[in-house]
Amino acid sequence: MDAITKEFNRLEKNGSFDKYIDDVDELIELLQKTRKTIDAAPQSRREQLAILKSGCTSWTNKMAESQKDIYGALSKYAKVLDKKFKVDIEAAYNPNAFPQSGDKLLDRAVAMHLIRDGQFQVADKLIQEADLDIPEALEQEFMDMYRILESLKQKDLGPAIEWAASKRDRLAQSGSNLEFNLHSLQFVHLFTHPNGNGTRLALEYARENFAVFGDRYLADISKLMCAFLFQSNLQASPYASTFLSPSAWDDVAHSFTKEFCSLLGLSPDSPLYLAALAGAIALPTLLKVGSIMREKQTEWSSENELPVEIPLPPSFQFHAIFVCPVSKEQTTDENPPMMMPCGHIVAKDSLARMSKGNPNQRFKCPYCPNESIPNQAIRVYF
Amino acid sequence: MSKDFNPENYILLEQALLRLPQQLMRQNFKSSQKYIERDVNYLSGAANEALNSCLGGTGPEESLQQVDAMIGRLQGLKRKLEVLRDEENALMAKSKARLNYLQELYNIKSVDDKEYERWNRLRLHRLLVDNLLRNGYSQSATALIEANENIRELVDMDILMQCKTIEESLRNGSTAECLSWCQENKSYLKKAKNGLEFDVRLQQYIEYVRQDRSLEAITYSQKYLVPNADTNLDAILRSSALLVFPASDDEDNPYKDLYSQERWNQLADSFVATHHSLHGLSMPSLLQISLSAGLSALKTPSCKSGNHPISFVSNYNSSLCPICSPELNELSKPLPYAHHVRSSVEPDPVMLPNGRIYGRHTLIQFSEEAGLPIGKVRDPTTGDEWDESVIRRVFPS
Repeated sequence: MDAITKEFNRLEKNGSFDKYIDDVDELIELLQKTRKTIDAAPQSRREQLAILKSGCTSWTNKMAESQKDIYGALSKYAKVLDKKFKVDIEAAYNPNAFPQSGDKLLDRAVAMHLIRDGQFQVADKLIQEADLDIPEALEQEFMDMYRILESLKQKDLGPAIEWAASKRDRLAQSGSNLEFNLHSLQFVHLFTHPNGNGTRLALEYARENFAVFGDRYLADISKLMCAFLFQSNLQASPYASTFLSPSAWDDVAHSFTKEFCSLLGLSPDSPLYLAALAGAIALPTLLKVGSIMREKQTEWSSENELPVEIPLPPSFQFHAIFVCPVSKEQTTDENPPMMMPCGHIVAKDSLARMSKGNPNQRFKCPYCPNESIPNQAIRVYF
Repeated sequence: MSKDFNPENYILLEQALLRLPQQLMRQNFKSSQKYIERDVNYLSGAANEALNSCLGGTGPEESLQQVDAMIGRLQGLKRKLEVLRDEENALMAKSKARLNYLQELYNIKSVDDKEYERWNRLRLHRLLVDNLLRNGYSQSATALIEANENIRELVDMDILMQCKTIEESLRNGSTAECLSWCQENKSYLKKAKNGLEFDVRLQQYIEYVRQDRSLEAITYSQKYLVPNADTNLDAILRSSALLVFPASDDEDNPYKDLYSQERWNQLADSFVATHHSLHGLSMPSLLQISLSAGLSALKTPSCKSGNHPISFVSNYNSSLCPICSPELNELSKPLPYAHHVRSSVEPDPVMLPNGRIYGRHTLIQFSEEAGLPIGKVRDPTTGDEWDESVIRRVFPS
């Protein structure tokens, strides 16, 4: 990159058309001077025109010089770009990826991403221009979500608590603690408020709101209540970390987003964003593969699996991966993982191979001395 | 893998970003060369003429007129050059903005850096605008730029919109716009031995014949098609037969392929391919290229749309899987899944009686948070409950 920036800076200095304009201005000046002189003293015109002619010649040379300079700067810049970008990124593209663009799947994904990202106006324009059918209700939901997030930013928990209360049953079903966490944050917020009667307000708040959580969250409520004992010196107390944590609000906003999206059946982070990010990480490897394939003139096969491994950071793993230790293949629905009575797991096809296709043939587990028959193996789910 | 972050990997993908303004600058320069050459020749000639005619005895008014003409001409050149200079400055500013944008990558230390996320979100917006413009959704693209002003210099609105306009004109049966584009880019097309212009003119000829304007068709063919007889003889011969076989939807018409309206679509596609090739743009958009890679890299054999979206604490949360999401699931179907050589499952795996396997810690924690009493566990996926004693250790590796 440094080479490119350096060359570009040079281009900026040497490649400007201002040179031309200056040269042209000079000649115009000469012409105007000539004109004035001839006008005032017509008898001088032979001399003047001779001067003009040589002036034109030197102008021509100057322009040629400037042209050379500018062209030189431009082509050096072009060369340094050529040197850097030798690979054609299309080599990494799988042509089976997006078959005919008639189905607006990608456009839909883009529109959904825009809605999630809070860019509602853009999303609306796209839905209109591309004639997509995205339920309006979805957009409405996200508008609500952003509204609540906005108030959370202003440290106003009201709308969030209201929402959580309205979805109490569904949240409980998924094991979420959101509603209670919101209330405890409010409690802490009141408690730690700089003005004097924070603790009293907190107590009142607790009395009003914690009752309904009594059966499930008794331990947590007791913990919170004991904070009153330390109210004079929270910093030194065991409550310092929970009460004075700076990230508490961010955490709760994050939690809220997660719960909100999961109730809609969606993940909290935009899938499109994650996929594009994974793509950026994966492309260099695929570029190499693609270039090799081009050289050897092989096609992107319609095989189900990529030909190479693409290492992604751990945060990009969303499913358990099971690779059969015998066949070294990933298990699928057609070839699921099977557990033998000894507790070891192999792919179904491997099982068949080890028992020579006979479901009642005894065979030895590849890991331990135990023997079993395929019929005893159970299908497992990771 | 990577706490490591290699900026080079990202920069290599951004070829078009830097190339496009550079090519436009080159085109700009060529235009300037044309003007300058013309006027340089004129001026040297005019200066010579003025001196010679003066020596030959003409009067001062004549000389003044000649000088005035030269001034006028030069001022015209100056104006043209000023326009080109402004264009070049704009392209320089654009290039500079883009170089700075790429330079930002070097400030990022790792994939966990906040800056990394910010840079990538911006990148996604760029990719979206580019994709929207390629599909012709210019209002959406404009709206997106206006919502994120700092991408304006990073996208090529004008070029893509111009391409779309010409593409649409072809789909609507008009050849004029495309032909004028071909004129402007004559030298590139010639160097690349591209047959676009001939194909478009052939289509125009076919239209004349279709409309029964035979005389115009013949003249047109003589002017534009016949000169290319060395490279396109077959096409010319076939097309001349059209004069005898009028257009009809008749299945038996041996020239129905030439009369087919589908040819307009093919021309449009061919134009887009030529246009992008000239400007160094890839045919699939950068968004599509990124996604085709990313979707495959993320996809596993277990990715299905039927996954229950329940959020629970786990190392692997299929509810968060982008491939399983309703937005991307359909889109990912034609793509291959990622290749893995090593298993990666939760530590300390245990199996429930229904065959489902979870990490022991995940299972216990989930059950606890769901409010179950100690000693009881619940399957996060199905909701069934058991005593903790029924779970057993398994050994996937």
